[in-house]
Amino acid sequence: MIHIQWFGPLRERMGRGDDQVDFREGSALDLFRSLRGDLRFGMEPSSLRVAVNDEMADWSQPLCDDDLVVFLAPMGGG
Amino acid sequence: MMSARFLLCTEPIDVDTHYRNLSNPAAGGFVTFEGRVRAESIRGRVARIDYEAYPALCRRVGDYLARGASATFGLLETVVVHRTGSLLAGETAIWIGVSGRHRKESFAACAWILERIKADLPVWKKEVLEDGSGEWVHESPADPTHSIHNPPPGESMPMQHPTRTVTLIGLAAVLSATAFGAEPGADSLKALPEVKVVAGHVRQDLRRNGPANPYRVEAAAQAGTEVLTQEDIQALEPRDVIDLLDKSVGLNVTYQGRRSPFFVDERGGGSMTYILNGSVLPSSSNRILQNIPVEAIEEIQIVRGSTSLALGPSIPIGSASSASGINTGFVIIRTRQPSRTEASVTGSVEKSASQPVADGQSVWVGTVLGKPDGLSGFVGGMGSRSETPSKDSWFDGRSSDMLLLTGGMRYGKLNVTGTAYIDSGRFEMQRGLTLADTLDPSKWYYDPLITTVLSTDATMAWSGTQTTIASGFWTKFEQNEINESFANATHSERFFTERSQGLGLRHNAQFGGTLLSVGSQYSISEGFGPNTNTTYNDWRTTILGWSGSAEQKLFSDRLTLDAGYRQDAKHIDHSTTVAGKIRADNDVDLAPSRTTTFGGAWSQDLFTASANAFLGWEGDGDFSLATKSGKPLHAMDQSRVEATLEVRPLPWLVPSVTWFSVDIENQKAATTDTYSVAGSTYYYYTETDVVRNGLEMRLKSPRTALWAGISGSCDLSWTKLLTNDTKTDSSTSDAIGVSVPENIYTARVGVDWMGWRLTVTGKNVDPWVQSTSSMGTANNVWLGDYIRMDASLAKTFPIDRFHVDAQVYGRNLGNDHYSTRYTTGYYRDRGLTVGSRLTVGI
Repeated sequence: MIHIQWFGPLRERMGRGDDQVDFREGSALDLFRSLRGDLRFGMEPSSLRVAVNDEMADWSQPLCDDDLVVFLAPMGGG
Repeated sequence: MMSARFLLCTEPIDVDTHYRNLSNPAAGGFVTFEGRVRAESIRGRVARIDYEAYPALCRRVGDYLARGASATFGLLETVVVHRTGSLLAGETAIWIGVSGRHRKESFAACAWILERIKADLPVWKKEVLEDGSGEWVHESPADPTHSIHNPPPGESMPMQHPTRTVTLIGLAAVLSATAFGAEPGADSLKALPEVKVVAGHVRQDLRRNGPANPYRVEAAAQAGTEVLTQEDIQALEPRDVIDLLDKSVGLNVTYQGRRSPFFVDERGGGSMTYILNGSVLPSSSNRILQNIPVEAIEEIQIVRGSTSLALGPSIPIGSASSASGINTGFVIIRTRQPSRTEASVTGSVEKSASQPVADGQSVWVGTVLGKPDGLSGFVGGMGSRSETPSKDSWFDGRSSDMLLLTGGMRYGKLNVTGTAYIDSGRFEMQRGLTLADTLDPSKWYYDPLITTVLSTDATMAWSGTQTTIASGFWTKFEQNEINESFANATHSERFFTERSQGLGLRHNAQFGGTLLSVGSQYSISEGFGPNTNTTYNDWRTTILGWSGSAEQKLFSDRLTLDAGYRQDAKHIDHSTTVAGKIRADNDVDLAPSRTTTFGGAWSQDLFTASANAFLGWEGDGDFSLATKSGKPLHAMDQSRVEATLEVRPLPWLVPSVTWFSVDIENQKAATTDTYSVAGSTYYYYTETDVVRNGLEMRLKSPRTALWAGISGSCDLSWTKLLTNDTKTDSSTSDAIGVSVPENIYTARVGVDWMGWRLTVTGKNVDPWVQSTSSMGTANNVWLGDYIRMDASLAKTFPIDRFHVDAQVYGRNLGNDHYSTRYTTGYYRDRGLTVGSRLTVGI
């Protein structure tokens, strides 16, 4: 089970702050590609970044059970 | 001295305070930037902007950017503050302040930080216009403001650099611009090379289901597993580790002012094994744990129900007689490691009614080294002292000095850590107050009690699915027991020492939905001297154990099944309790203890149902135990079944119910009858069969926003014993309400408001009337039957470049002097205790 948290525009689009998805094995990119269409916002990995367990991560990072994954929309700080 | 810090806040930014923090006598250039919400944008008149952050990552990236700028530009002081929440036009969203020796690097650094924050800080803003329309906006060099809802045609935002990298533009151009005397402009900022972010050290061993976690438990056992983090421990403000366990759901602590002071009972009974940083503690742990300062602890994992066979040996390490009882629970304590460069000083004082003032201090420093994609590591250390004096009519004082050193390194797939821990202190055995209201004259105390633990572990992640974990430990426990009297001038001393060491190796292999785990552990234990009720000990024993388990996920991971087997064989090199017969029991193999487990968990969105079964067969225990009737003693069998249903109808409402059932055959217990061998006195033992079952009902409510900035959480539990029958020689007795309480209720409520954190805990334990010890059985005594309420209030204040954690707390607010054991009398709780704790850190 992988935990996903949503922030900012993605949270608003989802209407909730988190999800749990069944995901057996693979990378963060595999996880993104395995998501249903409504979880992908019509976006591609090239327009997002990803964090795993509160660290910026490579899309190729392998995930393990109970990992926390956050997909990051383009940021708007400042 | 240089400093750099990043703050994320929900309250208005206190610009004046932060500005004062920039002051540095060596600085020649002070540059600040204040970003405010504009009243108008290209979309229209702005009513407000809602800023939302991903706090954990935000602090990590912000901290890196501030420190990176400080190091890169050679700044003296760097402060970056970002606000979140709803900001009206004119309010400050970001404030950056830097001071450097000269203007050029100060200007460049301030601009550079701002650009990086806009690109890399995980904060999002929604611009809400006066007409009520809102849009998430972010800036890009090409198009200053565009919406994620309506990305420009053909937009393809470049993927950022991989793991823990943030593109740091600006460095070379700024430096060259500075060198040539030109102010760096936007173009030069863009042209600069990247610098990798050194993210803070993240403990892979604490990831609950991570492959490098040596204490991972199966899905079916997770319902019985409790994890208390540093934040939890601080909120609960326990007196010591034992007190913390007493505040945990499903555990109950009883106490006597005797040589063996603390008894930790798991729901349904059973022995617990204590593991400190990978070191399996000996049976003396009931004198070791109370000395470990809670500030030194990063996390405690309490596993109730030992179906997780890989955690440690299934029988206690130590003397031959300590083979009695198969472990059915684990308490795993892991001490702190630095996650960044950090330092803190903590001081506390507390006062119990009519007792002298107690105080304690600790100092913690640590840092991380290297780069995450190369050789990296950490070092840290803590020193602490504490003293809780006592008036003579009570005599339950204690003191302790502690030193903890920790270090580790990571290179590619290899991660190695090591810890050295030593504490030394004094521990007084509280005077009993008899039914006739007379005080026991015994003045017994340990001085010193010394525990030394050296441990190391190495994790090799061969791939994402193959991990090998190796560990080693060495511990030494020493106690000098002093027996004096308040009635006369008698004085005698007894010294006992116990050493243990061990090695462990385990491999986890994942194949699709299958996780296989095999491992082996070897430990040696040696003890010498008089200990608790035995006037002489000399032993050397070894345990060789191995375990294998498999966990299988099915039906799209909704169902997880597990099964395992463990075997531990104890060998007695020598063991005697008679001084003249040191080699009396030489080179003996005890029959191995064997345990088999099965578990299953079904999880859906709305509920998780799990169950596990533990079937244990203990080999022959101490062959020197005898029954009064001369009947032979038998090996102990134990079965334990637990089933839990947790439902999640709402995010803030998570009720659960657990049914637990324990069946023990041939459990050993000492009687009051004795016999003598070679001048030494021994207790006769009996065998009993025990059946216990009960229910644990729980209602958890994770932290939830309530109203007007107030958020709350709660955790309520009710543990009810339905059966506790003990059968001895064909007579059966019911222990409920006699020697154990029928009901235990616990409550923990947390409220957060404006950074204030209030935690209130309560525990209500039913009465019982009988207490058994090696002194005999006391009947018609009144034990338990108490309500204990504790509360703590804490807030973190950023002051200057420091963070100050202030906390006030009260324990046993109802001033209830309850007792939980009667041996030479009642050992009453101190009652109302109030205290405060202050931590200053950077």
